Amino acid sequence: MTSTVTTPLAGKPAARMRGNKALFFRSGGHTCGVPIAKVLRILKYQEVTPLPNATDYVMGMLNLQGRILPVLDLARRLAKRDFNLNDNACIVILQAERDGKPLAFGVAVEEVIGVVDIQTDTIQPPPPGLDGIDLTLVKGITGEARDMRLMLDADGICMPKDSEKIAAASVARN
Amino acid sequence: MMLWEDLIRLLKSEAPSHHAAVQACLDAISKWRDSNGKAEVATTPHLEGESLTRLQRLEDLLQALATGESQWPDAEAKWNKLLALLPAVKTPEQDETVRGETAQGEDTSKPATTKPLAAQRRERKRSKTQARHKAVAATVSSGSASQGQPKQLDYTLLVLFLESHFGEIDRLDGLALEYEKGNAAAFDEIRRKVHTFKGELGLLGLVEETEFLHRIEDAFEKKQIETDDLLHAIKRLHRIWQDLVTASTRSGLYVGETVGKSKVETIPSGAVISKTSISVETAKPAPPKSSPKLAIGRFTAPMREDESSFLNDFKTEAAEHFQSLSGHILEIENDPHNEEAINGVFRVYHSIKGVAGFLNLKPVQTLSHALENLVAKARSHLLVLGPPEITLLLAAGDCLKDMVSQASYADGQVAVEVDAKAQKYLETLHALEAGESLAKDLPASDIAQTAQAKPIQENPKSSELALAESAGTNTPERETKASAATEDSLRVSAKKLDQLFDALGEIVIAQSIIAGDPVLQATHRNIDRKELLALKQKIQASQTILNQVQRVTLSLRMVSIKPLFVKMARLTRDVSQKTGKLVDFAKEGDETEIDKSFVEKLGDPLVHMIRNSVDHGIEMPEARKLAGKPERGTITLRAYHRSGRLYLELEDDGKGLDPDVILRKAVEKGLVREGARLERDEINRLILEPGFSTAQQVTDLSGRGVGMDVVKQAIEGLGGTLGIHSEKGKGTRFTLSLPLTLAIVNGMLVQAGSQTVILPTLSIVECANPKPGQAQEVGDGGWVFELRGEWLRLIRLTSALHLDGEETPFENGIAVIVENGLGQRVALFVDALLGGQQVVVKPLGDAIEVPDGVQGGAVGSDGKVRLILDPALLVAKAGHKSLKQETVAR
Repeated sequence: MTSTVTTPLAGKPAARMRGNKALFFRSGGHTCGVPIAKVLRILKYQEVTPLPNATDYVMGMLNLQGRILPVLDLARRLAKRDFNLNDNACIVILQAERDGKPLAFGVAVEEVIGVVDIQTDTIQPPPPGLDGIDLTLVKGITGEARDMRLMLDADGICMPKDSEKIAAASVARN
Repeated sequence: MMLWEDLIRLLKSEAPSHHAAVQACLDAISKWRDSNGKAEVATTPHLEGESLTRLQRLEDLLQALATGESQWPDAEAKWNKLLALLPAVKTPEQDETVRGETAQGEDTSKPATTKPLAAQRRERKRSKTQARHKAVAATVSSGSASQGQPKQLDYTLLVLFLESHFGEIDRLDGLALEYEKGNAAAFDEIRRKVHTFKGELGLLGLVEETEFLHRIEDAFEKKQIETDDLLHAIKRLHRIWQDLVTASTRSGLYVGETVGKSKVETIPSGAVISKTSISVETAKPAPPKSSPKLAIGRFTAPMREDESSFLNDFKTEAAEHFQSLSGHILEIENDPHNEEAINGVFRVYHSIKGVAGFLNLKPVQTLSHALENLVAKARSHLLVLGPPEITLLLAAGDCLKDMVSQASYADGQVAVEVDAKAQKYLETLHALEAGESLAKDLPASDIAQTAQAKPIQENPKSSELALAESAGTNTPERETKASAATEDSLRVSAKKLDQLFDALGEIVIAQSIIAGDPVLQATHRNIDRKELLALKQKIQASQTILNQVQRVTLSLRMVSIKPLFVKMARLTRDVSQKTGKLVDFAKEGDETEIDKSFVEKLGDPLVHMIRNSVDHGIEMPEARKLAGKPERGTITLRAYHRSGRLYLELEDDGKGLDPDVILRKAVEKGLVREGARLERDEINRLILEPGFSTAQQVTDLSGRGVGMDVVKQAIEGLGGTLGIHSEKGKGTRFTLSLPLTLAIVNGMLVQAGSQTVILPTLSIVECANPKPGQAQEVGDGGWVFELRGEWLRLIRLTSALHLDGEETPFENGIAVIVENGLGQRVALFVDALLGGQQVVVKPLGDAIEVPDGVQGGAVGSDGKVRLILDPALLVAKAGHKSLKQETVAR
């Protein structure tokens, strides 16, 4: 019921890829990356069970080997954009942390690009006052012109309830 | 000729589980019988009638033991009885001349006929010192042995060894403590274990380790190993074990590093003689020579880093002990002669004392020792534990608990905080020990003044003696029982259980996929019908087994609610004493099983509710009298399962809620508008509002209006509801209705729009096919449903859940009548019923906020997630919403 997609660079044992490596994927037109250490698994996109009356970016619930995990629409969560369902779409299962407790959840992305080495010194914090995207998720910006990459904070993607409202409000302003 | 006292001493000093001892006893008895028969009465007590019968029975028992007909634990009870009777036939002092004649060698007091005994004893005496030196030398010398030379072990053998002896070393610790208490069976078991380990380690080719074990065995042989040494030896074994585990992860490469680093030489050789031993002396808990004092403030003692994990183990273990402690103490309060409870308390203090000593937590050890002594007195019927003692036990127990829970490790030091209370309790305990009455010593605030201390006996000397006897006769039996009980349960990490549940869920789905395979249904194809039938039967058989596995597995997480009840009983007692009210605590259904995670989460709300009930509910005794009620109020805590939910009820027979007062307060606080007309139930619910309190003054117990808000939050957090029923002057009843999470739920699969959702079958009252006109629209989007003359609210599930799909005409769908725990019924309109199924309720994860009305999820047979709805919450939320709108409208 779950099939794993092999990413271009995912041939080596996972343990050796930790460190300054990040998994990059496309979501809502952005190229985003999360530290590889936060990635539990990559699945091909599959139908999830919608959760009624839930926050708009909650796509639904997914069964991952007997565990029920929420799947979030990253495009909507990050920038209120629409998720573009296509054949390359994947669900990336992330392992985040809140109040010291591990939290697992999935994010639906349009395409997984692969694992790339990143130089920490090339990452700059997002310009202050940047509108349009939820900055609580964005740790930094890297890459070059035409290839801008957003470094995301896995813990921030599923954030505490209060700040969620504030963030939603700030997005709504635009 | 046989000396009677020798026989007695022998019988007592050694539980005759050893063959040699049994034989010696038998010899002695038969010798004596002979002499008795020959009427050599000058030097032997003459046995007549009953005494003779007793001796006969003793002999029979020994015979049975010797031939192996009877096992020691069975025989033990009888044995104890006989032993208790023996002193009754004790003789006057033996004739000196007899001794003179039979005396041999240095040991003049031993008669010739008991030569085996005497010899044995001499042997021990001689070997005693040697063995000690040897034991210390053994540990020290092996401590400096093998400095981390890597060694390749046979991997298969290693894994085999690790698997087959998993957890046994942990048990050795327990056994060693049993041994310290004088349980000879424990000693034998340790010996067997060590022997087995020796053999296995030898097989693995670990020379130093084998030698080390061999030396321990040597010390065992002499029966002269001190508990401290033993515990240290076991610690070494722990380290060896850890090294072996490490080795198993390095495909068998063994580095004896931790063994090499072992610092056993830190045991001062003088320490070995300080403790009790199982040897010749009938070692008993000796009363403290002088009262040890506790210095207030921070106590620190050195501790090695790799031992610090023991501290955590100890804290966990102690927490479990303390949990049972209050219960036992309260049982004693109800029945001061409840031996089981007394023994329970004794065991707790004793175990804590033992481990605290091992971890160098002196203050903890001292206090628990003093407490143990007090209970020991009660145990040997020297003292009746009256209310003052109970209060002392509870208070000092709490103090001890705090000390233990605050014990911490940092930088090679273990620290405990000692406060003035601890010191005070200790002093009181010592005073009590010295035979002083309790009431005058303890500050009045700590003690129920009405009660009186009842020390039965104050002669320290005789109490010591009696203590020794009772300990000698009673302890082994009890302890063996206790250790047997602990052996039956197993601590498993919650994570592993979760993994088991997940795997189980998977296999259940896999099984249903097999069972639902189209091949099995296809009869038209060229499949042999007989074979198909046979296959179906096989699948059915495995389904049956799987169902059983599922049932058992799911019950693993369920625990008795009893500890929670005990805690509340204790709390009721404390609060009622503080407020000066007389309150009885009654419990119903404390055997009800609830999910383990609920035990912790229900603790807080219940504490607040109990405080409220005692502080605000129950009246002062005088007021109760005036109201024509019995002086003592009653608080009843009730637990039961109904309609697939867990119910907890807290009922008091106090003054009840006064709707007028509540309403007035609510108006004052601006919660309700002046002149608003509210239903009685709505008024009652106002007490759940944050900051709401009708208390005239804020006490340290309640009155700030926070408590019930906490309760409400916590219950809602658990997906539960809280009902309040109250009658002015008669009492109040709070009803908590909670879902049984993680239990298996019998679910009804229903179709709602494009989704299949699950309704817990137990919440379903009935289902009906709506007839034309039975469902009516009221206003804009409100629906009612007529059921046998009663109009119910109707919720269209598809629209309530915002599910896609065409709206089914009422005539084509089904109205499912569901009930929440509080008797409210509502009709849920669904498209179709798809049948019942057992499902495993799973949480939807903490990453998102789960919307109201959804209880959890389950994995369907297609591997997709299905939502389990919570009709109770669905109904309650809808009601709450309309109430809110009403308030706004006003």
